[in-house]
Amino acid sequence: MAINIQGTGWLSRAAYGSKNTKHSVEYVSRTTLCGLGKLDGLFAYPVKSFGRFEEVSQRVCYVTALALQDAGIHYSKDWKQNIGLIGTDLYGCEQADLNYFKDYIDGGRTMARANLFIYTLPSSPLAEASVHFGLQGPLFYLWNQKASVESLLFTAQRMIAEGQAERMLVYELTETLDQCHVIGAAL
Amino acid sequence: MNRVLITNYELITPYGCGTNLCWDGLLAGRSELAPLTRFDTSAFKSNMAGIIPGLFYHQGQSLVFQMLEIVLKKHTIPLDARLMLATLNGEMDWVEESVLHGKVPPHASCMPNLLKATQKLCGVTDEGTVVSSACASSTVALGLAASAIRNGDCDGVVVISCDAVTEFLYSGFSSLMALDSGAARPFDVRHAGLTIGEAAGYAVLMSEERAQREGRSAAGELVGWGMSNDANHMTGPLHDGSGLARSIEIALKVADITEQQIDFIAAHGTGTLYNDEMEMAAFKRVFSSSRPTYSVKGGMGHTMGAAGLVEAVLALKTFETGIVPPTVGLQAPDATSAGWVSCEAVKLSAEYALSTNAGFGGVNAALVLKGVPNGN
Repeated sequence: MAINIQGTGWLSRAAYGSKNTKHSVEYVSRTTLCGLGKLDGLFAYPVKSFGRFEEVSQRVCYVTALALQDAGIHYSKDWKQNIGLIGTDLYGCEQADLNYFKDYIDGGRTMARANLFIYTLPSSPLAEASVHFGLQGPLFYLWNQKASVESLLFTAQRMIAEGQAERMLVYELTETLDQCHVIGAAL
Repeated sequence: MNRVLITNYELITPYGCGTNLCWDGLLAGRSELAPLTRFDTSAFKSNMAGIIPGLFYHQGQSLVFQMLEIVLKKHTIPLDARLMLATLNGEMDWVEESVLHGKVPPHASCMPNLLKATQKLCGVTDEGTVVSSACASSTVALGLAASAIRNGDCDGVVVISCDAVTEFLYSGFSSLMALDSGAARPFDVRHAGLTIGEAAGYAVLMSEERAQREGRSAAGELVGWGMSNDANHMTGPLHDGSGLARSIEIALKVADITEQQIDFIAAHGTGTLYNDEMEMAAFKRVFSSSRPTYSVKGGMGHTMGAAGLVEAVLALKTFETGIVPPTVGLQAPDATSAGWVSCEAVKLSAEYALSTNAGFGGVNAALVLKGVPNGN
């Protein structure tokens, strides 16, 4: 089965954009990362509790919105789509892990916070995106030494060919640039 | 398309090191869930856990490393096998040590370090891949491994999985109000939450052609796998079971069999009201009649990312022995699971099994396993 990249969204510390539409916006001089959702209207509808997401989840939601838009895929609160999500980054949820456990220790080891604990899995940012955008395909974190986009694209292709999903979103998250690619069967 | 055989495996669970110890304990209806002494639990609703005896906490090596060291000691993994490591989040005791004592090297808890250590323990040349999909991690890894072999990408994969009971995870599950105050009682009328447990293990998957060439017998065949997401809530499943049902339907399609051919079900069966009801709803969506169904989590606890591997391996024991284990801790089934689950072992000559798992973020995964009566 031939597949292709149908759209790509990207986000850096200073700008965001999408590839097909060759759209790019510098935001760093006028707002913070967290402010983008409201100020730039990146989402078709507000992301519930977005301000409480840890940063990686916010970034994943932004690049997801940009990628879906770039691929011409609409989403709504009222329906779900058979699209999967697979992603990679080097340090997984390390910062979220430290934040959760430090908060628990600072609180006297009695009251852990569930809203911090839920981000302590490498797959949690993808899960937040799946909930907001209504994406019901396979969802997992994958890392290897050669965690290149090619190996993720290969896995995504296999998922589509096997009938696990109609489309897949492939995420590459790095310290300087996050990207989300929409993968689907070539027409 | 290549057939995917499971040629060997081993587990370490709260029953001890060895799949047979675990199997015998389950068949005897014995639970290894007990009060926890590894850390102070006085602030939590529960103090119960499924602990592997003899591990050392915060004493130089992570718990999962110690578990892997034991279970991989006498391994029979081909050194050219691809390596897949599946875990919920690996070495959380390093995160604890970092926060408590600050003496841990940066990124010590990150997956690449555990992957490297695992590669060294099992001696394979492949640098490996980490797969994490909450409590369906090893189920997803088994599916990916089988897919690679079926499609001819490689002829052998070892899936290794591990997760441990740490204060990090225990406090987190407690914060979610997910723990039963006593031992977990999956599918029981009194089920009130889960009990976390720990386990590690491996399974070697091989193409039929290679297994025959090397004269290896098989314990079973992995014929189908399906994955889906509820897209509903970070911690709560879709009550109607439609998400998990989709995983099962995909797995049956990949296996090219019908629901009528499934002989028994190794359920996720955590013991939480939400999970157990969701799971039975999923089964009732897919299956035209009840099948012998069980959960092992009343015996060893919810072993998190390792649960899928543990449960798939134990399903192979049913093919070997002709016995479906009881649901340990079950006294009286709740209304939704009555007629499916049993507190007694059931004799059954089975050809196909379904094994299901689900987890945080709404992930669902299902495997279809097939018995191989003559080992090939």
